[in-house]
Amino acid sequence: MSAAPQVTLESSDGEKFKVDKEVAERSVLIKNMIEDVGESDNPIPLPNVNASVLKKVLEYCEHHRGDPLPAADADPSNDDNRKRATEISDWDQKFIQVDQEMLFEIILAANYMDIKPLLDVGCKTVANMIKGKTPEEIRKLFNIVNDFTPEEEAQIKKENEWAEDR
Amino acid sequence: MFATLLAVSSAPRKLLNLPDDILFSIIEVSAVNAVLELSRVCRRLNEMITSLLYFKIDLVDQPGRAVLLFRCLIRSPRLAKYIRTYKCTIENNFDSTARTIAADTGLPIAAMQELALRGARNLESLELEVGPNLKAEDSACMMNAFQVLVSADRINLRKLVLHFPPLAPRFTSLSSDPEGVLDRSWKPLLSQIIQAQPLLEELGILGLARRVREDGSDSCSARPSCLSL
Repeated sequence: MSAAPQVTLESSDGEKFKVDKEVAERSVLIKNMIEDVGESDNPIPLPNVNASVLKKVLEYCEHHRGDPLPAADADPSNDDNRKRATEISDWDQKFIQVDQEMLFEIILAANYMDIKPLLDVGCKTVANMIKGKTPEEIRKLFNIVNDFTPEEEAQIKKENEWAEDR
Repeated sequence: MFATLLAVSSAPRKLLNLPDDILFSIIEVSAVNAVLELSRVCRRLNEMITSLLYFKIDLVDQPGRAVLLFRCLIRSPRLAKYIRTYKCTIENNFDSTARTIAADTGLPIAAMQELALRGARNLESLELEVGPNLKAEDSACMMNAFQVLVSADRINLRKLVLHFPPLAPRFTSLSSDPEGVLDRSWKPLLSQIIQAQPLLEELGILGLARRVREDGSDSCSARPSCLSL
């Protein structure tokens, strides 16, 4: 039995990762690059992803290598399962238990590499962090400066009343 | 062999450093109340959330919430500019709540609706449904609301039809009340809309135009099901 075909990915800081093509192709970006250029021994450069983030991303891709790929033409705004659903599988939850800096790096890498399920996990994780918190708690959590006057804040609270879930 | 796709950024990552499309994704998967809290965090998040919140309003069969929205838009007219798609049921069968709320503004329900939509300059799809208990005085206000929108060209039908042809029939979707009480009063209004928007006929949508102009009967409501392209 022949070995699975492999590709080499190169992070922004020059580290090389040899992985199964099937794993690398969880990334639509990489899949398209391989299709466009053809198979090659040259490493595929990922200038926006450093080695520590790429390692995490590849860990995710390896775990989910057999999962069905999301449809390329799926419209996320019509995906009822995705909207307002913050459930994350146990494995994904453990995987994404990282510090904020790494979480945002993973989200950006998933976006850049076009790995929609990983991007979803990242976005849902941030959504879960926000859930149940007051604006002040959210500011504190993400180190955001309040640039509203107290009057503006009160006005927005009033304006939001019609949309609140009661 | 593989081209470098994007410049490398080494800036520290924070929530507000994320690109807008990712922030939108986070907002989309968040619970409504969490999104509303997030909108009070800072100006940038507020602007993003407001544009999403008002982009598509669907308050069919939610008359109580609709009145709260009218009140909000009357007090903060700047918000109406975000509305692109608007669906709403207007009715008066909720006296205990809505009349009290309406008393804040001193206006009947439909007049509130009219005022609320006045700033909706970017409206592209409008669907107003009249509930069974709309009172006679309110129907006049509803007509005024349409007249304001049509005469001020706030409904950009040409844009809608060019970019979203399947939505065109829904544009003038007006449902009259089941008992037919309001049909007669809606009729001149429909004619007016058609006159103001001849493109409807150019596109062969109407059915509706012919019925209103040639059919002497009272059944002049236009529903999406009878206006398919």
